[in-house]
Amino acid sequence: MAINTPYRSVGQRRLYTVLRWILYLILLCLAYVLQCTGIGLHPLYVIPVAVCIVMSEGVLPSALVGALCGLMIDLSCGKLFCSNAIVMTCVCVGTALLFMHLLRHNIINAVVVTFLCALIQGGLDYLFCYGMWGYENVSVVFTGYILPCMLVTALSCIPIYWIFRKIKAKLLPTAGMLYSVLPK
Amino acid sequence: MGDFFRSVKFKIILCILGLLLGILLFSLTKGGYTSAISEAFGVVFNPLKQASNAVSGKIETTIDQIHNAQAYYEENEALRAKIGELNSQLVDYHETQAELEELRKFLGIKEEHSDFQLSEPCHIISWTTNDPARGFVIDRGTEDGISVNDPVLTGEGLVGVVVEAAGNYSTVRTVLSPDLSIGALSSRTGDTGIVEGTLKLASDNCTRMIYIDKDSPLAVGDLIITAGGSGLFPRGCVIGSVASVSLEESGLSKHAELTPAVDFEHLDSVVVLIGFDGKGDGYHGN
Repeated sequence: MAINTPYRSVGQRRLYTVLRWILYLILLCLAYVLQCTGIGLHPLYVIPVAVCIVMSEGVLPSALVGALCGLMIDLSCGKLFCSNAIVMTCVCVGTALLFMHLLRHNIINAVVVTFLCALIQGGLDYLFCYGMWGYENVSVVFTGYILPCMLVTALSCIPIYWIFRKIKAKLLPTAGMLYSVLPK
Repeated sequence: MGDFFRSVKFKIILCILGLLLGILLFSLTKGGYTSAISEAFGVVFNPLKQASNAVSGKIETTIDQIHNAQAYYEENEALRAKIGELNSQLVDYHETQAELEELRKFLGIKEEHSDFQLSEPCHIISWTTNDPARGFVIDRGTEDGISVNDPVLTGEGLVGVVVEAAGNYSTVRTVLSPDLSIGALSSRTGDTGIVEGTLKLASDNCTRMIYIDKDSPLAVGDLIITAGGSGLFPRGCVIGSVASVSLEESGLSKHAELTPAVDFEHLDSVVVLIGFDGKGDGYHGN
């Protein structure tokens, strides 16, 4: 099946790739700073940013993005360093594979997958940091902090997905194409 | 000539002069207040004089502006620079004033406890995301002499303890955390206990004192201070005040809800206790 490549040349493809990843990193850093700002309940902005990145990228870059995202969560939430990095690496690789083979690139899927990622991250965080240590009234953490955080994180995916859609429209014209027919 | 002085016109002129003389004499008797005729003149001519003066002033100003434009421009620029300088001095003044207030509070700690070695005032960089116990990060670390397990204070009382120290920042765990246990006693009754938060109370900005003797006369409003026996905290640091006292379910001891002395909602800067008499004595932890 012949596909017309959307890039004019290999050089253009490389340039777009570099620009795209620079923008990804800037947005990830911005999400991290926003996440650390202020007091009170915060969504974990790095999760929807990571999901939107890995939707259109390969498995290895997704793993690296997941690791970076997890490290940022560890730093901002004061958790054991690399604990969330391990979780988010696995989650982002799974997300990349899902979007590669099963899911379409649309906002509903992005929001649902973001919620699932936040659920896995929040659930494991609750289990290992609170649940297993026998604290009193430990359910307060889940109902008062983790569950609202998950919901708000999923909702924050909506504007973030829109931003990434604009970026990918310019710098990744193959986004959303079936993996099997992507130009190599 | 003689005819003129005998004519009617001369007589009329004389009458007019007489009238004027009479008005003059009358005006003299008014003592500064205007006569009716002067007032009538004023009513008619003052609006006209006003308009005329306005037009004249406008013309003068315009001519002056055109003539002295350059001088005014330079004066304006100089005044703008001066205003900018004064504004920045005002900002510096306000910042200095705020810093002075903070330092006064910390000076109070030093005056009360002469053996305390305090760090420089530390500002809060960020709060730990979604932490019920309100942990935070400060902008000083090991390069400023801070080490892990150093107590963190404000002028109001104990904030918590350093749990992580890097070169130029440190993470603080607050007294609201269930992971921090502090030997404490009541300043009034001397009853001892352990201050250890719970997740539920932490979300309400409160903490708890447990293992209080069941016959203790501890009452609402009593001040709770550090006992100082562990070597981690000095003696006499205010932790908070008792909000309520109740018996444990087992009936073997009491527990008290405490309102911390420090207002975590509005916490901006803290100071770390680098050294004090008795530091490390009796502490065998990691």
